[in-house]
Amino acid sequence: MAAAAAEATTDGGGKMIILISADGKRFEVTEAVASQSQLISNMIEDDCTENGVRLPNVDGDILTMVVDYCNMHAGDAAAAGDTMKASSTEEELKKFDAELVQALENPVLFKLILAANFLNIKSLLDMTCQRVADMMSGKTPEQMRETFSIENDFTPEEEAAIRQENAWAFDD
Amino acid sequence: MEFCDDLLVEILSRLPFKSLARFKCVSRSWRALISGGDLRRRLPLLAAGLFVGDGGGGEPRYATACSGDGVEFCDMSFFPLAETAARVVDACEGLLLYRSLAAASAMYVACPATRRWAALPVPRREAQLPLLAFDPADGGGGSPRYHVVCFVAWQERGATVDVFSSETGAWAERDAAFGGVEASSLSPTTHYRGGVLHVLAYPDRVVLMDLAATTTTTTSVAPGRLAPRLPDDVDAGARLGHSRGRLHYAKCDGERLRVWALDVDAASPGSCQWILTNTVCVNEMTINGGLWAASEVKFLAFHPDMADVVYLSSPEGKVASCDMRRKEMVSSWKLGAEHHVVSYQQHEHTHNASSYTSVA
Repeated sequence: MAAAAAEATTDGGGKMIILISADGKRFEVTEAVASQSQLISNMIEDDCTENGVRLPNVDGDILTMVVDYCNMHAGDAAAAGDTMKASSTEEELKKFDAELVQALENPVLFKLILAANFLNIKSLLDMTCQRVADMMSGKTPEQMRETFSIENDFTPEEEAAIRQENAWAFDD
Repeated sequence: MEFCDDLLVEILSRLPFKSLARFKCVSRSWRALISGGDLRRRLPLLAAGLFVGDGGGGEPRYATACSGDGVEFCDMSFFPLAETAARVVDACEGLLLYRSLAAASAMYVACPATRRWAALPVPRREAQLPLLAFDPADGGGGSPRYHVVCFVAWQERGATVDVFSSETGAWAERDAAFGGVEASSLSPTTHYRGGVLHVLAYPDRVVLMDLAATTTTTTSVAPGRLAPRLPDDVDAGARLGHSRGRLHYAKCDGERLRVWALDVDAASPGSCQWILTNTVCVNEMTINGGLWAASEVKFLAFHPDMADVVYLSSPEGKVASCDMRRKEMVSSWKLGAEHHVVSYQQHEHTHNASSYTSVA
């Protein structure tokens, strides 16, 4: 997948940048693709991408997904530029996005959120946070504690009082 | 998995209000986050706040819906002039614009979520019909970025306006053209997003006034811009708003509530058109376990993140958010019979006398 992603960008034109994941995997992408990350876009502006961009808190498997996402979405970021390959249709993008997040187990999805946040890719952060919110919305507090590994630090009396206050929110 | 508070807020702010109320008992830190200013500031619309009359003949007050069965008046004690020496003249996305009772030229902007306020410099000319334009997506982090717009003089197809920008901290005069629309046909309904003030105009136009441009030059004539002709005529209850980044138009004709979205063709951004996205017969929607009389339902606002969700109010002060696609209520608030929803997000007072007085 990573190889395919790198290959897909080589004919896209523009300067190439190397992204290096925490576990040393290297991804070659165009500046246009990489600059969807505000973090990298700033680095490009500051001319400090020469020796590759090390991303010590993003694993290779997560970075693969991020690069796939950015490759797919490079078209809409540079919609005006006719140097780009014909950009993907909106429908294709929607399908791609849906498939990207739907298949993910929570731990991977959470890592993807952290990566999108760190790299500052707003559209990816929006999409992944929305996915988690959709997953959370019908759940109980107990399920939330389990999903997020949170310890219940209320006394039984306190919890009962809060439930009482918000009783309307518990009837379905 | 540990998320920092910022990320957790990012996720929680996308949840329905009902889920949030339920998740207050997950843990102490979740309760603090859900009740805290950061999240409330980002929560859409009614969860973030609304105006209610206090029923006792006093000024309407700002309130936040913080539990399911009511609203809590905001503690405005951080703003010493509130209630005694100044009154609210406009509200936009959680920010309030106050005007001094003693001197009409003295204006203040207050933010109940952050409990901060600021006095505006005195405008050079008498400020008429002040409007607050605030987009929570602007700026972020530090102090909110907003504009205050005062109409100074009317022309046949335009107006001279004084615009205060919180970025420059100064007023700037400019002429605004209305794209050929006569000044007398502007409605009092406005909507602000992305630097552009949208004003509904009779019978079927949306005049766009670019406020962001005023920060670069002191005097400039904005080319009058218009959105495509509206699909149905403007009336007093018609509203504009943004949902999922797209401009929407809602109109309730007594039976049906219809919502259109402005569809921008990615291939040619110049051509865009209104597309009907949702129609519901209001009296088929079950709200609070009962039916609302269709003629009494008022459209309040769009949900910013969920395109099919709208906020409606009834004259008895009930407010509900409804999913138009599923035709069901998402959550509802009972404001109490004595409460009236006065204004949220829309500015009722642009031309005629302030609507706030009508409920006092």
